[in-house]
Amino acid sequence: MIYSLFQKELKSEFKNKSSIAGLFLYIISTIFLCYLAFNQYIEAKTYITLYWIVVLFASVNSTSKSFMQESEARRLYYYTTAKPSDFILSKILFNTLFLIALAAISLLLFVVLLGNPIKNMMLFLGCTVLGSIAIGSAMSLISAIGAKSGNNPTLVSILGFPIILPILLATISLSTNALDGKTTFESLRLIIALGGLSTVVIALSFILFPYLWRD
Amino acid sequence: MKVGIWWKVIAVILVFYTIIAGLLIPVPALPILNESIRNTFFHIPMWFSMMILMTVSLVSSVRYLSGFDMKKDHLAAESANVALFMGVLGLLTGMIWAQYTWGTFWTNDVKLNGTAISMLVYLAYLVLRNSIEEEQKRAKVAAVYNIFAYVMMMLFIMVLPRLTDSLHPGNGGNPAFGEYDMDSTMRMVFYPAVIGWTLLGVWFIQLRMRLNKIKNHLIYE
Repeated sequence: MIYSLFQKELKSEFKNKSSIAGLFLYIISTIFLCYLAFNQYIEAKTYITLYWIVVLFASVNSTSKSFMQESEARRLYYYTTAKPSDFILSKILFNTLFLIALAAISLLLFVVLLGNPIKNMMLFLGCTVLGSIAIGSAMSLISAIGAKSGNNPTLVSILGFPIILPILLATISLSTNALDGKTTFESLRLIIALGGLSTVVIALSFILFPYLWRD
Repeated sequence: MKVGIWWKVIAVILVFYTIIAGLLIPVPALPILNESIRNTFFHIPMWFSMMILMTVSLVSSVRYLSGFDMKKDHLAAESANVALFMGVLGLLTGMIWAQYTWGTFWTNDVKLNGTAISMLVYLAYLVLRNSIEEEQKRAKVAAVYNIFAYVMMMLFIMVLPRLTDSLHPGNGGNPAFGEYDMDSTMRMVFYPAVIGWTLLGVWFIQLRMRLNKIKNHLIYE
């Protein structure tokens, strides 16, 4: 069931080509602007911060509408066919994978245009995956809450940003560790914190989503 | 609803007692803190009462989701309101203390930032409540976000600051306001202060609930 719901997410996302193209245009133009503005010289800390800001806005834009595009009739159809836990899990899975893809593409563009100051690339990639899981799962639940309140996109940002801020602070310090070439073992605390945060958010989504599911 | 007046009297007496005794009793002289340790009697009880009232809010949200009783929803919202007020008081007393001890109102510290973010989460909860017109729907969505917000607040205030060093007393080897450095005379003021501020908060909640009742009465009849 989760697999078919996931397939449906994938299809409906790629059916709407203008939104996905807009997202990529946003990423490319922002990173290109950074490239032009910094004129090929960029400090390592600025590099990391810029990278996460670009990923943050791209991810909030893409995940905040994940429940809003469903029409009332379609929602009724899901309600009769799927279990709520499967539904939220497929959303979390899709959002997480989508964010990982977004972050990977941004990283590629950053490396191509602004160089590669990162010393421990494996840790950085792991950090990107962990951050994507945390942001993707938190935004899935928040988007579900926002969709219930009359499809107001500003509200999703208001609800989401305070939750995402600490996640982002943790990912920035973890990726600064990766930048400085610290080993994975040295930053184990942050990895555990991020993993634990995602686990708690996913567990809460599991428990709370069934209440939002039904009108 | 027949509720006695005695606990309100106790609340007022306890709060006055902590203000007077808190400024007059002798306190242990600890390095860095010195006389500013008296803030223990004001800053921490306010946070304690905030946490207690947030927990009341959480419990009423959970009870709303299990029984869909509108009164529980109002209770959850009002206790979150009053808890946020207590949190602002705690933040302000902490900032005044920090100005004298650290030389600045605000520093980039995990514990301080975690608190500020938790305040934002609860402000977002109030915004969410105000943005939905339909009552049943508002109650349900707000209850779900409230439970989420409480767990996040616990993570931001209780768990994340423990992972890194913090300037805040009680963290990173700084002398604490907490139980370890408090002597018995301080306890005699500290615990009454917690009870007094919490009871005062409960009083606020009761008044706001009554106001709500009158408003609803005027709307529906």
